[in-house]
Amino acid sequence: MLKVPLLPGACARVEHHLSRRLFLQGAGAGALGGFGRLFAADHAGAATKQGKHVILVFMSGGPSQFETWDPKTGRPTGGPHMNIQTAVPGFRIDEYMPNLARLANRTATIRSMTSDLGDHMEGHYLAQTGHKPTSVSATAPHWLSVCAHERPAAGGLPSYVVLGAEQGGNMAVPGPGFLGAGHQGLYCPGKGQGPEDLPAAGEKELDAFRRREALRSGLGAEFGRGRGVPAVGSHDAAFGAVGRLLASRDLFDITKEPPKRVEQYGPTALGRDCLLAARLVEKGVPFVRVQHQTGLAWDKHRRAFDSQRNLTHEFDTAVGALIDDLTGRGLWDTTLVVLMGEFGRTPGIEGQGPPGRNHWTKSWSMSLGGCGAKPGVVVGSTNDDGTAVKDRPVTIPDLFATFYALLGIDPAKELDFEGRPMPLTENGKGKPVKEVL
Amino acid sequence: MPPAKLVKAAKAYAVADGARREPLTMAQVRFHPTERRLLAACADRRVALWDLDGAVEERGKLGTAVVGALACPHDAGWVRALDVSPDGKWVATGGSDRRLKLWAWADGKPAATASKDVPAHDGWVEAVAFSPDGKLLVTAGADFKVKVWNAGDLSTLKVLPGHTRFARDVAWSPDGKVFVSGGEDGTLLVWDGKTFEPVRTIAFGDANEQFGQGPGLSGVHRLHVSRDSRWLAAAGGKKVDVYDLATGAAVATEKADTQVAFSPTDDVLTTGSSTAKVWAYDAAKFAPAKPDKNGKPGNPAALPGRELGQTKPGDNAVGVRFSADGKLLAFGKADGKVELWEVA
Repeated sequence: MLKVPLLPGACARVEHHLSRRLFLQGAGAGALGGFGRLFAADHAGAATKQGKHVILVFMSGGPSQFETWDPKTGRPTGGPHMNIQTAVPGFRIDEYMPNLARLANRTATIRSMTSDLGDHMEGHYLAQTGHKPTSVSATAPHWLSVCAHERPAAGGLPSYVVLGAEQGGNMAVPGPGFLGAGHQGLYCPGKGQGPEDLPAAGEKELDAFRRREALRSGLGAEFGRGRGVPAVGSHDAAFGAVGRLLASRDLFDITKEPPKRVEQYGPTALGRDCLLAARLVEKGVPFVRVQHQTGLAWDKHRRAFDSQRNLTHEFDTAVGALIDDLTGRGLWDTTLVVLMGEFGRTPGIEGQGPPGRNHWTKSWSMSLGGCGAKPGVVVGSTNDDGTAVKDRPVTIPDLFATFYALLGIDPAKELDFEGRPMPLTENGKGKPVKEVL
Repeated sequence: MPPAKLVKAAKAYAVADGARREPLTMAQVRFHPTERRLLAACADRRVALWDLDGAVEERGKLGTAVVGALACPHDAGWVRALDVSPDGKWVATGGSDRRLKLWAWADGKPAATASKDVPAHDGWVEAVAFSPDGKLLVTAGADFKVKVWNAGDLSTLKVLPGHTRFARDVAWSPDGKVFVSGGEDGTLLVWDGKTFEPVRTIAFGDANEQFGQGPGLSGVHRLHVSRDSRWLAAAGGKKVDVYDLATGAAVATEKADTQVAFSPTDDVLTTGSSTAKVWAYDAAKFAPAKPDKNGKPGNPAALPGRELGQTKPGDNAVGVRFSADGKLLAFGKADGKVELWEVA
């Protein structure tokens, strides 16, 4: 038997010693490798059939509002991009977003977002948890983990799936926080691929997995007995979900989609992931996060006007197809699609070297639609040069309150963490944007 | 005698229109062929214009510079394409507003209003070039198309498909026999200067990548043809290749950024963008690359010749051009100034 060095103060009892080690192997497998990144809510008992979904397409890096939803064409801050008329009279957006222009009468756009964290990772955290990283008393969960907690999937499906990663770990893509590993999104590596590291297909392999899982859960139960360790239940949930995934592998298999449907999304990684997101929602997965490229692709400090239009075009193609697809399949009214990054970009065109725009939190834009969000609405505005919100400022807590309201989750609800009330948004401050509801 | 050195001129050139704004990056520069005037397409809907002999002023954030005027206004967007006719009588501008405009030159500047103004492409006009006889214009557009125009009335003579991504630049050979277009698809298309039919396709490679925060720019961003119409130089984000225009064979290569220009009087070539390097090249040593052991085309040798000088890394010369007499070299810079260097 291997001798395991003890940490100071650790219990020296041999059975605890052994079971901790084995338990940690199981937990480590879940966190780092093996069945790594395969976590999903296991609320089978509590699952209720619910019909609301979310697809969050996250535009990491800080998309420029000037080159997306709030162009200032012809102004000194406007840059080279032109704008085009949308399906909503008087509402114009960037010229490289013809699909979103066509679909503007199905979506709502907020042009008066305002926030105050201009660092990428802090911004990511705030824009996906509703909390500032410096002010949380417990690690805040991703809002889709909250959704998975509040509205778990039925029928053994994962409640929350994450498609693609961003550099920056749990700041870039926050985890389940105090909700525990059972509400972590099931990770897929992007480019339309399903979960990694699943055991091989086949009844024999499935039996082998079940035997290992029985051993692991038995050891976990032994470890937890008398300790009251919540993580044991959390990890049991995660591994239980793996077993169910093995029986439904084709959930993630976009090669089963007709070529015409694939083609509509464009030949890009984002296109593949938006297609997979639509497939997952269609099959009953309620919450999906899609990462648009890795490496802070929307962070155009330099050479913005050589590369922005390519990025915007692939975004518009994939997201436009997603909205069309969801609508065509009768899922639009029950699926909230959210298109946003962590902040916006400066009105001034300076950048670093060949021109671009720097970070800007004071006034920026995002778009959402479906799931009952009022279509064709444009909320708020900025001044002529886009240097400030002119009317109807919307904060990230307001935005989150709006998301929750659209999903039928009480924005004022408080979760519980070790007996402490945890509001869904920072200090419970968010108020739903009524114009969108 | 080939040039031996580069000397930075004392004067720099900038513009200001009174609006509160960031530096107007100078993207494409052109010397007027017959008058001591300098023009640049910048991060504005207008073209910057200077008297080369203008007085230097101290202008706060702009620093010390000859402060020019802004001319050739488009309604919106930025001027992306600029050229001056060989006789100096016309300026052509193309913009992100998709329009092509022709401006008569008189009294040392372009007219206040355009003589001709037409919708040119279904996308930004990325480049425009007068033919050596001044009778034709060729444009490259973000609609992936190249177009040939009658320079007299801006009527379209031919639309040339072929690129599969944004067409980024066009240049004529000085003998007028061909013109060349280059695009972000990584191809160079050589066209007959009289029939406008395709002559050959040259694979520059490395189509523009658009991933992450610092997308690797490549494909063709700028191209130029040498004074003797023999050599074609193309610049992507990673390299400058020199080709034998008659055969399409690559004969030299250098690590470089997005800009390139030949001298009209000497065997001198400059690259540009983050760092600009200037070479007196030895054309006698240009040689097609030898095939590799599998019989595939290999990489050509490094540019033969002597480096005359270079700018500091990060100096960002995003527009480069020699004067008609080959004695001046202009670097349009990201900091909003145009610097001149004497080629001696």
